[in-house]
Amino acid sequence: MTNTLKQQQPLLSQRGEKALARPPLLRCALFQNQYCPTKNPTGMINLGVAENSLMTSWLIDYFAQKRFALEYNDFTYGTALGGSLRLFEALQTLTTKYFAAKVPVQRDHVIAGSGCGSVIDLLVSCLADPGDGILVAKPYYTGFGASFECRNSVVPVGVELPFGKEAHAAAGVEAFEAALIESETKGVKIRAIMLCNPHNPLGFCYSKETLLAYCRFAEKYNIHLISDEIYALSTFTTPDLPDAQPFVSVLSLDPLAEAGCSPSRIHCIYGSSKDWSSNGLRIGALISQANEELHRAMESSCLLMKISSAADILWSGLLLDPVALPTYVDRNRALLAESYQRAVSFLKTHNIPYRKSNAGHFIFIDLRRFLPSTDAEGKAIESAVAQEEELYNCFMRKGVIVARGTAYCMPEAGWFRLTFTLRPDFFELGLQRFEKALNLAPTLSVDLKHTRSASTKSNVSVIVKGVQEIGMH
Amino acid sequence: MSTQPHISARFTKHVERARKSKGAALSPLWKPTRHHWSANNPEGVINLGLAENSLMHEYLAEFYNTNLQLQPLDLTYGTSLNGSDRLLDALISFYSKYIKPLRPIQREEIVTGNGTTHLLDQLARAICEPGEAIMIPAPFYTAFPGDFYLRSDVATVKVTIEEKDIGGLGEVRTLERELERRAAAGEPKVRAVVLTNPANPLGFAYSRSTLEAYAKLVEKHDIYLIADEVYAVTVFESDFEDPNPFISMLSLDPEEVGFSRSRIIQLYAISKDFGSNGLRAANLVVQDNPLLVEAMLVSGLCLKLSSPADALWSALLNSPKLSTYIFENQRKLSEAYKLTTSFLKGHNIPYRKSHAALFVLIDLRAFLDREADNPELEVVARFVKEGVYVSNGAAYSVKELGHFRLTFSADRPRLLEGLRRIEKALSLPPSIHLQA
Repeated sequence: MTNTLKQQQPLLSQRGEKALARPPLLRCALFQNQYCPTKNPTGMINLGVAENSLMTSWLIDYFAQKRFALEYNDFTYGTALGGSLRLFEALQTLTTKYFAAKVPVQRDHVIAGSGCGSVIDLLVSCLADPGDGILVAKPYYTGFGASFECRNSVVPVGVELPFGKEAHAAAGVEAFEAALIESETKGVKIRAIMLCNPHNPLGFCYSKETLLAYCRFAEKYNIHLISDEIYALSTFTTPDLPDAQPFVSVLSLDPLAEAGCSPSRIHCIYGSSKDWSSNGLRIGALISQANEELHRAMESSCLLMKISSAADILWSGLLLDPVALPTYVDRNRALLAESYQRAVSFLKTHNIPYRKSNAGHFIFIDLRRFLPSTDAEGKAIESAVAQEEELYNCFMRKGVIVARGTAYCMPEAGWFRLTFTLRPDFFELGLQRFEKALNLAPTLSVDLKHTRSASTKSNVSVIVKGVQEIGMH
Repeated sequence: MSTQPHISARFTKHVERARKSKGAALSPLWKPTRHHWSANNPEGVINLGLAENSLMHEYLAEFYNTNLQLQPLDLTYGTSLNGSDRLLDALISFYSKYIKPLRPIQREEIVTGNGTTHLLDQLARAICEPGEAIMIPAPFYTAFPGDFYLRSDVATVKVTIEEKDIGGLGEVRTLERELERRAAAGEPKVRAVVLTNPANPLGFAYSRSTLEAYAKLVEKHDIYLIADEVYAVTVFESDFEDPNPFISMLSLDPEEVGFSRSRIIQLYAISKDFGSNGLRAANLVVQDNPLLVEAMLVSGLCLKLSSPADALWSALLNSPKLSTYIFENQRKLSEAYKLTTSFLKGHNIPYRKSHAALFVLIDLRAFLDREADNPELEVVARFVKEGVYVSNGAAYSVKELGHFRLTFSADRPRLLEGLRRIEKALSLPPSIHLQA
């Protein structure tokens, strides 16, 4: 048969093409080469992505023993556009008990979506026009950039704060104000502040005073204040920080009475991924209690990101379980504390400076003294950023992934984010590989079976290239 | 008092439109599901206006409860932002048996998403510039325009197909005329045509010759074909004369017919064939177009299926009882269709015969109050007052006023009660066909 095809394959749109140029968030060979002691002992140990595996078996057991019962509405469009009645009740229970929500969370305050990334993406498109900006303190979670920019062309305006003072009210507001003025001079109108509270990657909680200071700032410039509180319950006690600031939610504030700030500006983001060790469930929620127009705006498009009723049943069921809820939270906190201590003890042994923290699933570590001046072939590396990249490659070659600070827009190169919430046995192995990569004196018992062989170097370079493009959470 | 903080221009527009929308006052989409009818809640509204199939709910509920086995990996980001390997392989196996692609599907040709809605939203971005358009033969599924427009700024060009042309080569010729007219008039470019097969709301499967004509059309005009095949195995025995079997666009021969596979974007989901819209699990397949697949996967984190949905859909597709499920579903649909059409015949309500999907288009022109502001919505209001919802033809861009889409895929007690309420709403005498 004659080939009558006269045309090449059809084109993508320009924005489709642009998408190709963008580094894919989390999409790469890395996820397919995960370590498993039996099936893939040379696989990568991921100390760079924020996943909490400490409570995984508890959750699997809990979900397995409950009857998974779909109601009629769970098969269909559910009981509400912006979530479900079940989910609204679950969030109300949770935020009343653990967020000290001043006003109980109602259904009209909530818009749920399949993951906080989706929710923030839609929220930003409602609050800002293309070309506008959102202020966010550096270093910041790499995914914010994607959520602001990809679909919405909204600019993340990173604000550099004095090192060590990121949690301080005065220093913070001062820096934010300067950044806002500068940004608007350059023609980028600022529409919101994004706070990550507890903070990723630095692992601290904002105090009430600081939050109120940001509220005043938001009021002064007529902008929104978004508080991403996805790590709200991932706080733990540690002798490292005996007077650590506990978690305070924006939902616990009375912005009008306490800061002269209209509550219509205040938006809280929460979800199942981090505190609940359930990145896979894909549930995120906007909780905004005093902005009907925003709610209607989000509602107009929230069907595009509707959560799965299956995930809803599982997560809401847990939150509404009066015994399981506190059991989970307490146990998770205890395990987080243990794992943090383990990690910190390791770092202290090797005199690796780090940011003391009491929240989150990671530690921000200072590896500047390890930055290599030459690469594996002996060629000189000029810039600190390139050196950081090479150090990252060193880790990769030894079979461990650690997230680069510059991926979080850390102003200075050489910082890394180390996740400590792996299964203890995987974590030990990860630390062994970490030691090898930095040529540190081994402090852990070495199991030769799990050592990465040098002959896999060529595979590594392919994976390395892919992984460099990941935004680690 | 404080100045109101900014809401974007785009969403200010959406909110305004929603406020002004005529359907808003009568939009019972959430009302019926909130006050959902059951033996325990006889006051509830019976929803026969949405394309939902509750005939196999009991089977599915039991299946899901037995088969939800989450692995630790399921709680994490998994091995990919695309569906799990488990799901991709289950889809490949399902496709080979029921979709019958000419060339077997590979994992790399599949993009999964948390619902066809979201896939279409992202697809529109990937293939259209803002302001460009996608063409759909009318009547069609009501939600397409919103999926393309709300976040991706892609317009929908509705092309009414005359009765005589529906399902045939005339349908394709009508689309072509419109494509040519637009090109000559310099109107915004159409980048794709949507073909829903089996069709919604008309409930029939397309013939091979028409499908081939569609393929040639998109090749000739260098555009995409979005083949929405969510009702692929929702076909049933009925009074429809000479029904076509379901034939997938993926089963056509590119060499023989003369088109490139890279243009055919096939859409599938758990929603209709497996009655589980709420689980949010869907996929598209496009062969020989790795760039499009990649452009879609870049939004992977937003599209990612919830892992229980991934696990359950995989289990369904891999189930040794799959063919039994499909057969039983088809049998029940046939029964429900028969009951519904006997009812309609008994009341001399003309209807359009169907043999696929979940609904039948009924002719209620005799019942319209033509003085009313919106005669169709006035009838809908009558239905809602009696506690039943049936959707109106205008929602599907049915050209002629007075047609309604009645879903019959409800379990017997619900269907019977729903039809009784329709009777009451239209002041019809009680029908013998409803005596259970």
